[in-house]
Parts: sequence; C-alpha cells; structure tokens
Amino acid sequence: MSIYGRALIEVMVAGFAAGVIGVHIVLRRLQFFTVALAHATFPGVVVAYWLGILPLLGALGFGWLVVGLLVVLTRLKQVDGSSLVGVLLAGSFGLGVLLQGLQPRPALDLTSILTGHVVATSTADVATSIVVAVLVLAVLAALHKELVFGAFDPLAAEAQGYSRWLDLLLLLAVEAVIITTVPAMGTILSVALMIVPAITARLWTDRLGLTFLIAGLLGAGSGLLGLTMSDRFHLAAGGAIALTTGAMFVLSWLLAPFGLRRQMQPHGIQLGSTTS
Amino acid sequence: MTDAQPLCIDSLAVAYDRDPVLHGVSFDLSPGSSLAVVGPNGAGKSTLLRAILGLVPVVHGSVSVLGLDPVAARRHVAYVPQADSLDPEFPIDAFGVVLQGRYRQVGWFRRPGRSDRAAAHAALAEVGLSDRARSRFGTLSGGQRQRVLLARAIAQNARLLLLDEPFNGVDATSQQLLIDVMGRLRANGVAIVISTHDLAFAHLACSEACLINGHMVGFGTPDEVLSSEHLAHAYGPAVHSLDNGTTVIAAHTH
Amino acid sequence: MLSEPFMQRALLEVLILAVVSGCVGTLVLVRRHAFVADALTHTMFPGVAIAFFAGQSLFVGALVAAVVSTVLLTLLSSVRRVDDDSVLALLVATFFAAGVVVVSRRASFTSDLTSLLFGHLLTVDRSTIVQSALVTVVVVGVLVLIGKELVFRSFDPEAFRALGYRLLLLDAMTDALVALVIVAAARAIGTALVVALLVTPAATARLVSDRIPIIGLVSVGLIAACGVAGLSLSYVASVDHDVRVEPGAAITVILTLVFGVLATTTLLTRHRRRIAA
Repeated sequence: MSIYGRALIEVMVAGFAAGVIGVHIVLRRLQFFTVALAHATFPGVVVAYWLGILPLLGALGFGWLVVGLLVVLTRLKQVDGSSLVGVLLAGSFGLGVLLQGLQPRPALDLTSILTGHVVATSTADVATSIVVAVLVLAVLAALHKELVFGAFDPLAAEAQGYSRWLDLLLLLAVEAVIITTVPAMGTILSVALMIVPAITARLWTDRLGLTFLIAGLLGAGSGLLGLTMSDRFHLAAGGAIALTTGAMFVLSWLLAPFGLRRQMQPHGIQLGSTTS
Repeated sequence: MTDAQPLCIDSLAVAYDRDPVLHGVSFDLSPGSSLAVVGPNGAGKSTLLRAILGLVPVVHGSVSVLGLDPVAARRHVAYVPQADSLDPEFPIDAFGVVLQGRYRQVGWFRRPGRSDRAAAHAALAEVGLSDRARSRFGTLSGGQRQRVLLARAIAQNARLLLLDEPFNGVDATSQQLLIDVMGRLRANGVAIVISTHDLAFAHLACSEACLINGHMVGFGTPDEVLSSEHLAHAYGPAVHSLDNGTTVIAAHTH
Repeated sequence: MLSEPFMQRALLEVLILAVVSGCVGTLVLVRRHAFVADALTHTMFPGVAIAFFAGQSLFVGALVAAVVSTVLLTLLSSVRRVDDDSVLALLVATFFAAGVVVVSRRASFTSDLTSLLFGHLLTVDRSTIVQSALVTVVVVGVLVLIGKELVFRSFDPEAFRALGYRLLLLDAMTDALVALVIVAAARAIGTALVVALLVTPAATARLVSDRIPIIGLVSVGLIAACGVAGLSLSYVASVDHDVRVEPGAAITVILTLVFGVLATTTLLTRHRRRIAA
C-alpha cells in the first residue's frame, strides 16, 4: 500500500474513533484531562523507543499509569481536580523532554512526537490503530446507556448500583483512542481530533445518537481533508488536520441551528449561574 | 423482601477522615411512611442520604435498607437529586431521563424493550408531563425537571425513595403535583425520605420528621419534632415563634 | 559552577521567575484556572513563532497572541452549547496547529520548535532578564493592588457581582496576568513547560498550608529551590558527564517529584489516621 494510502486509513480511523469518544469527553467535562493524557503519551513514546517496542504501546502504558495516578491523587481533597491534572500534565511533559535528551540513540525525532509524522506511519501503527479503534467503539456501544447515565447524573447512577469502575473504564478508553491519533497528530495536537468534532456536532443536533454519528464523521472527514491539504501545500499533517477541525467548528458556528443563529435569537432570562 | 423494614438505622455515626460529621442517628421507617430530614445547612442531611445509599464510611452503628446492606439494596432504592445540580445543556430528552430508571432491570449490554418504554411513558404520565416527553431536559422549568426526576424513580419501581431538597426553586403547581404523586406512591407501600429545610412542607406531606444538627435532635411526628424548643436547639437563636403559633427560621444565605 | 557568567544569568532569571510565577500560580490555584493557564501557554505559541521568524521581539509576538486568544476566549464563551473547557480545548488545538504550520514551512523546523517549546535557560541574555524583572514588578504590583478582589471573586463570584464589581474586567485581568508570566518565562523555560511553574508549586504548597499568603511564599520558595537544583543538575550532567539535560525539564521533573513526595505523605498520614480512628 502506498505511504499516502496508509496515512489516510490511519487518520480516518483515528478521526472517527476520536470524534465518537469525544462526545463522552465533552459530556463529562474531561477536556483538560484529555489534553493532559495526550501530553502524557510523550515520555511513553520515548521509553518505548529505548526499549525497542512499538511506540504506541509505550504511550498507552504511560497514559494508563497517569490515569491511575490521577485516581489516587483525587483523594487529596485540598487540591482541586484541574490543578492535579495540571501537575500531571506538566510533570509528564517535563519527564518526556528530559528522557528525550538523555536517550542514547539520537534518531528519535522530537518534532514527530510533538506534532505527528503521519507519512512515517508504519503498517504496525495502522493495524494497532484499527484494532484499538474497533475495540473501543465496541465497548462504547455495549455500555452506551450506562455511560450516558453516569455522565448525566453520576450520583443517581451510583445509587442504582452502577460502580465507579465504569468511569475508570471510560478514562482508559480515552487514553486508548489518544494513542491512535498520536502518529498523525502528535502528543499536543491530538486534542484537536479528540474534542473539536464533538463540540462541533453539538451545534447541529440535540439528539444524542446523532451527535455521536456526526462527531465521528466530522473526525474522519477532518482527517481526510487535512491530510489532503497537507499533501497539496506541504504543511505539517497534524497542523493541517487540527486547523481543518477548527475551520469546521467556525463554519458550523455560523451555519448550524444551535450556533450563532441561536445566540442572536432573543431568549428569556437565563437561569442559573455561568460556569467558571 | 417486601415485608422487611424499608429503613432501619441504629446509632449511626459517619466521619470523613477523622472529623465526625454525623452521629447518634437511630430510627426505623415502615412501608408507606414519609420522613422529612430537617436541619440547618451543614447539619448532615446529605450525609445521611449518602449513608443510606452506602456511599460514605459508617464508623459506628448500622444502616439496613429493606433488610439488606445499603450497597446490596441499591437497585431497590431511587435517589432523586436536585434538578439544578444537573447539566442543563446535556443532550437528552425527558423520556430518556425517565428511561434511566429502567436500566438495572434491562441489564448490561441490552437496549430497553417495549415494556420498559411503556413503564417510562406511564411514569411520565403520572407526573403530568406526557406532552413534554421529547423536550430536552434542560429546556424544562425547574419544577418540571424535578417531576421528570421523580418519574425516573417511579419507573424504577423502587421501594425506598430518597429526595434531596426537592422543592428548591419549584413552582407552586409542580410542588402540589410532587406532593400528590408522593401520596400515591406511599399508598402503594413505598417509603420516602426527603431532605428539606421547608418546615411547612414537612408538616404538610410527611408522616415523620427527623431533626438533625451534627447529631439527631429529635425523631417523631412532625408536630412533636418540629416544636420551637427542638428547633431552637438545632438552629440556635435564628428561630422565632410567631403569635399565630407557626415557627419561622430567620433566613440565612445559601 | 557559579563562576560562569551564563550560569549567573540563568540563576538570576530563575529567581525572578520564581517570584512572579509563585504569586500568579497561587492565583491560578484559587481560581481553579489550571486549564486556562495551560491553554494560554499553547495559544501563545503561534505568536512567538511568527515573531521569531519575522525577526520581531518574541515578547511582542506572545503579547499579541495572548490578547487575540483572550478576546476569542471571551467571545466563544457566550456560545451556550459549548462550555468553557471546550472553548479552551478548541483554542489549544487551533492556535498550536497554526504555530506548527508556520514553523513547519522552515527548514530548521526541529531546532526552532524545540527552542520555542522548551526555552534556553542557559543562553538568556541581559535584555531577557530585564524584561522578566519588569514583568515581575508589574504583576506583583497589580496583585498587591487588587489581590483581595481577585481572591473574593474566586471564592464567591455571585456575592462579588452582587456588590457591583464587574466580573468580565477582573477575569480578563486574571488572564492577562497569567499571560504576562508565560510571556516572561517563554524565552527561558519555553512555552510548553511554563505551566509547571504556574500549577505544580502552588498545588504542592496547598498541601502544606491553607492560608493564601503562605501558599504564595512557599510556592516562590519551592520554585527558587527546585530551580537552583535543576540548573545545577543540568550543569553537572552536561559539564561533568557529557549528558544533555534540559534545565527547564529538570526543574519541572524535580518540582513534580517534590509534589509526589508530599502528596504521598499526606495520603499515607490520612490513611493511618483513619485506621487509628
């Protein structure tokens, strides 16, 4: 298969899975956590490269370690969740830079880890991405109603006997999808595919099932379009894909039923306080 | 199962870390009764509800729900949160929320079937919101949201209902409707625990009252328990008796 | 090692940054603004990158990017369908992508990217130090003047608004302070690692104290101590052992380790207490 064909499959599979799980991320307000997990793949990739194992598996391992650390650290009631996420994000990113500097074999290119290097995607990367994406989508489909219930009303779900392990499972799935986006997007830009298609989909519909579908298609579409543009204009693929997701959001904001049009409509006094 | 007491609490004490937040709570609740848990902010009302759900560490005493450990009894217990604690932008309609009450019966990996949908529709009709089934939860008024959450508990066929401040920001129509629905549930043998600071409501709709302030100040009928003397004990100098015999508590900021 | 002039400059820069990021980090902690701080570090990137290639001052580039992203943040927060965290994620993705696309057009892609992201503490010059010092004076001055309002607003926004204060203005001010720190630290520590100075020390200090002035002081002390330690480590590793250790990364990792040790101690103490109770 051609390099371009392989890259195309990689970004479209990753984009679809990221779009779908992104809806869960946005519903549960896990955006910052996702950003942190994406950063946390960096030291994992470096270590995997040292050990000579598939970089994606290193990224997955370290990401899951960070998920575990966060679960333990949330018992520290003095420090709020976002600060803990920030500590882990900064710490793992610093560790990645440190390890990258220490590595004996200088061949590992920092740029490709940080911003993606999709044309260097190996067949093993594509295969891993497809397996991971199919597994994650199957889990999300099987646990759909429980996961949505837990996102909407965590206390009532727990009161009905649903375990908090379900939340942990989702976090592990988020990390698994992140690693499928890393070859194309790098550790920092993968957040574009993980979150932007999902928030864009929310501007088009109120129906949850449709939100998942639109987000998945937008993710895959951004991958396709972004990769094509990067090929045509010789831009970094990760950057081009991320900018495509951004452009789709802006277009949707201008055109979609729940975007600018809804904002311009006079509506009644909004009850409740604004967030933050 | 059905003849077991819905709720037996015996000298319960709950502590987070080493700080005790609630102690000395003992009472039994029989089927069809409704209990108002009354107390000032921070008295431990939500902690008591959480203890009944088995969500907080019990350091002393015991809680038994329908003759079972609270965790084992969870699927027979419905928790109704305050409507405004939920995300108003969440893409889910009223019917979808009510259907959540059926999930334990539906089971893992399966979609709700025809009988589940029928039960959810019936529950929505019970709270008078059949016409809003397809409205997004966040577009409903505060009172309507609270009614949808009660319908979810009805769809669950729970034997014990726990309601957290159900009358906060609720219009008069919805308030009356909630009270009527609770009456019908009690007639079917469902026991209800309501945390509230609305004393008038406690007198009106509850067969029992439990006054707490870090510990249990009193338990009995609302008339016995919510006497000015007890209230003064729980709330301190903010309690005033009016000439017509009603008791008011000076407004405190929430 | 302190006889080397470049080490003296690096040390001075670290101590200045300790003061400014310790103070603003405390504000970030009480405002629960860690994500905003992180997002601003990323949105700053294209400004720095463009200024770098245009031969303009990085300071000005970062400042322009900060203003643009703060305005967009405020504008997009009014879309009700999209919550604030989503807006931040959107800005991180698109701004950083724009920076990457700009940098990727250059032949010296990798070395440029690295220097912009991770900084060059060992090659800071006099003018960078002067800039950082000026920013520190301004930021600390502002904090002294409106510190009590900022804390009040963080604690109880509703009551704060009820007293007639304007939230929007004060929030823009907070973002501006955070942005200024990132601008000041970008040259030395790099945009990607500044967040370690803004979040980790204050979170660590919070484990020690629940009084805001003490949290601020402890944060400043922690950054200074870990900064000196990281610099020394980097120096010893590269001069004596010929191993490349980025000073910014070393400082970050040491700060994180200190947090880890204190967090573990706190959790273990509590666990033991619970068993004893």
